Amino acid sequence: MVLLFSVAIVLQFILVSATKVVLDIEGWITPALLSEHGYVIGRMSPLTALLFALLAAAMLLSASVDNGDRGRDRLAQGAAAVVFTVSDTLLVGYWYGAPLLYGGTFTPVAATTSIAFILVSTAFLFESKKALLARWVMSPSVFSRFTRMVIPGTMGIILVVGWVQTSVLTRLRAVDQVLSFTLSALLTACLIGVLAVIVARQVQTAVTRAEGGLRDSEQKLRRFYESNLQGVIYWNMNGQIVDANDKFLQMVGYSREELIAGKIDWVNMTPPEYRVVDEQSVLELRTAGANEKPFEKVYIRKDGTRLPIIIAGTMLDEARLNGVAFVLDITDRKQVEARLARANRALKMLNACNGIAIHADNEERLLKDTCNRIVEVGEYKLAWVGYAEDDEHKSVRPVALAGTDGDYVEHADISWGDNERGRGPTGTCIRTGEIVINRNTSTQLHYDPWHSRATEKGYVSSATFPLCVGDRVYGALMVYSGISDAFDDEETELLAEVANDMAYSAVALRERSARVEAEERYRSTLDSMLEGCQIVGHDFRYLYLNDVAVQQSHISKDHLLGRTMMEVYPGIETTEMFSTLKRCMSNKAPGHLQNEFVYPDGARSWFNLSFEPVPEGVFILSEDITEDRRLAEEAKKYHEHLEELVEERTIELTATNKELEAFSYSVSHDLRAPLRSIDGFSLALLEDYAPKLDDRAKDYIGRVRGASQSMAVLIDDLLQLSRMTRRELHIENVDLTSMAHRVIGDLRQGEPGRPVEFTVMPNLMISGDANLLRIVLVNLLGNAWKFTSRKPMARIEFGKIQKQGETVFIVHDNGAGFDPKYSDKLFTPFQRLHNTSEFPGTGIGLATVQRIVRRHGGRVWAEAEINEGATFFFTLKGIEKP
Amino acid sequence: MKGRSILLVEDNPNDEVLTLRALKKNNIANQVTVARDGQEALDYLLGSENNLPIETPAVVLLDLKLPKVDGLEVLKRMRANASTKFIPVVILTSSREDSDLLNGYLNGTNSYIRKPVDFNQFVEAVKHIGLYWLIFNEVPTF
Repeated sequence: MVLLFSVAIVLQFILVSATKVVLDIEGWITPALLSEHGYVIGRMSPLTALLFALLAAAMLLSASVDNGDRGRDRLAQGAAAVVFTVSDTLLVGYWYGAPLLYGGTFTPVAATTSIAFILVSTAFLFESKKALLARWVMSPSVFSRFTRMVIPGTMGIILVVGWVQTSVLTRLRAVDQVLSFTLSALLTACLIGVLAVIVARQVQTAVTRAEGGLRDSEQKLRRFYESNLQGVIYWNMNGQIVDANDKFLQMVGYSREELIAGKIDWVNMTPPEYRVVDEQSVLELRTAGANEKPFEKVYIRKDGTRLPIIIAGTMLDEARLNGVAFVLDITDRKQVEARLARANRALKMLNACNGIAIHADNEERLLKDTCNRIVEVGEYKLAWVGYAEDDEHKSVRPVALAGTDGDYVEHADISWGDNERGRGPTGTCIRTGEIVINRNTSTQLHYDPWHSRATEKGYVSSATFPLCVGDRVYGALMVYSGISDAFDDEETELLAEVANDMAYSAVALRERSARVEAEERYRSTLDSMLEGCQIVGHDFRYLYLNDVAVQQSHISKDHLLGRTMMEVYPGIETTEMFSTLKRCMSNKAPGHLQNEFVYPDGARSWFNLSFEPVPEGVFILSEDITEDRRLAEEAKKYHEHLEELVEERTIELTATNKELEAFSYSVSHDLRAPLRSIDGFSLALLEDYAPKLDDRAKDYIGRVRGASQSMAVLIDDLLQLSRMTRRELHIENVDLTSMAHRVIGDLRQGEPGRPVEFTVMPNLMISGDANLLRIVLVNLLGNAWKFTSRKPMARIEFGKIQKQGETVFIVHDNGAGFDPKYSDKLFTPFQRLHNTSEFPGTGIGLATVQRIVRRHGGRVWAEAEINEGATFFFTLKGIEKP
Repeated sequence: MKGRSILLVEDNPNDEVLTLRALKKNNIANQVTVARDGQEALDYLLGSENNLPIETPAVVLLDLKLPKVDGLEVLKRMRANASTKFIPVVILTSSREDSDLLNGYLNGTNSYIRKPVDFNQFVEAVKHIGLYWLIFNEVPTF
């Protein structure tokens, strides 16, 4: 666009100059209407437009200049220089009053526009990206100095000559044009001569000084070169180092022969990452001839190691192809810097780790976070924590890890035992409790099992710190660095501090979590206890209550916790319970109390209270014994009442017994007396009035007597039965065998001549009441005797058998027997199974036997068949004697 | 068989008649004095406030169950008194209570006989009493 416009202007310029034809561009692009209405259409000089176009082109070119594209920059600078020169010329035209210079035959360029162009183009020359021209003019070279003097000088000559021409000579109207021109030419020549002399002198001085300085500095440089304080190299832009002092050779490890052979190439010696820095420096040297400031870079020594240096160069020739450079070995400084940086990082890491212990709420988190901070803030490759296990292999269990390669630790299989896998830094550290530092793992022999993997992972140095509780080492913190010779004293000290803090915090957290767990366990135990449990603080505030305690309090838990006992139960301070509690608290000694508690609503409960001092205050165990006490009281009352009752009953029973005794007594006396009268007088009647009585009358009287006599027997038996229940037992050893023999002897005497075979087992000893047992035998053996009376050969046996661990006495006969379906009626008083005419009897005997046996704590029963004999069994609880 | 008298202490009139009949049947001719209660018996034996003792009997047939003063009490008083201390006493009663037997002998009775209901047996018993106490038995005299 600019190009097209410029071409159009140039064409117009040529056209107008040659043909005087005005193209009237304004006219083309302005509507005719405007000029018809009298609007003035301004016209710009084509020259002005051309200058504008040039400036625009210069600016556009400058804007599009890339790094290293010098062509465009030069073009832009040239365009600006053209604008500057043309506008100067225009201004000179005004100054000299020569319209041809500024206007010619067409629209003139205004003087102010010319000045503006001069300013803008000057500004551009100095401000454009590279400002090559300006820089060249301002450079310290002799040529530049010359330029700097000549340009203002010539300008000054033009101004002075112009002023003389227009102001002085023009006033001398008398002087003709030839004179005027001659005078101007003379003046110009004089001024140029003066300027030439000044410039020549200036240049002469500059050149002289430069030459002297060069010599001087060459000498100084030589001395410096030879002093070997610093490395000095002479080099060229081809990359060669053509000369160097011994210091430099020593620094890079090359020999002078190699130098002479041209084997030292500063481009090849520069590692790739420093090439950019080199290029910038070269550019600077090319343009300015010297490095403005020394810069840092690295050379690779002959042995491949890196040499950090600081270097500054300067060009020695105008062509800027050869230069000299000064090289300073900054290895020491770099090391110090690196150490400082590491220490700084370690310090930052320590700070970062400090925060962890405060916020960590569990051990695992703490270890993990610490490892993370060590790696992130401390810029280490790997950090991990291993705990020493007390297992068979004494293995080291990784518990936390941070860093690039976790699997290194996973597959490390480290032990802390004194074996191959335990002689690494971790095992050694745990075994000895000492910090183990490996500045360079590749030189450590005992690192063998892990060496290849560590190298592969880039772990160059390592530090291992013991984690202790008291004197016991329970684990280790391992830190791996990617650089050799890491972990100097300062850094180690800081890391050790991190390790110690972590070890301490981990133990504290472990203990805390154990404590919390135990607390939880105790609490749940307390919660589930059947007794009330509560903890009261030193200010008598309820700190803890289990459900039972809350129940016992008659108040909701929310209203208890955090409040004092005095608030909850006003007036409790005066109770015995409270004073016991206070005593327990102040003496730190347990207390016990059984106490009735009166609730604010008047309810009362008895409590068994135990007070136990605890760190928080006092633990109270309360057991509600109200119900127990009530039951005990009731039982006591009942017991007392029972005794009373027994006493009453005893009295009643005694009275009844007495009454019964009196009754029996009376019966035995008074009931028999009338019978005696009946019998006696019946007999008297028979005896005294026998002749008057016929046989029938005598028979009747005989029946009266028989009846009265049998009634007497009945009365006697009844009395005996009643005596059995009343009589006190006199327990002694009784020989039933001999007793039975005596009874049978009596029976034989009563009925001599009856053939009865009697068998008694010997030694039937028992403890019991002899009199009563005799009655038993009299009755049972008497019955046997009686009911065998019809047998031609009677057989009676008395003995004992063992039945289910019990001694059972047996009386067996081969007599009449009885129908077994009546066997349960046998022992009922007055119950008879046989006719009196068949077998006499009252039916009292077996009832008496049963009473006596029962009074001895035994049982009696019978088995029989009609005419098959009968067997009577009885047991006695008395102690059987062998 | 005439001789010293017999004191029969008996409140039951039927028994009195029967006892007398039994004595008679056994030909015991001794005079029989009947005291119908204990007090009467004591009065007869020891004398009362106004009277001296009437007689010292050869034997006392003593019933136990008596109005006013019972038989045991009479026996005790007799044994406590020197004049009656050695008079043979035969307790003749319906009772066969152990306590009666025991108390009778404890208080110094010479014999204890239960009156049988069968009158023939009673007569037999009285016969033995008469024979023994009135004929064979000797007591110290004052």
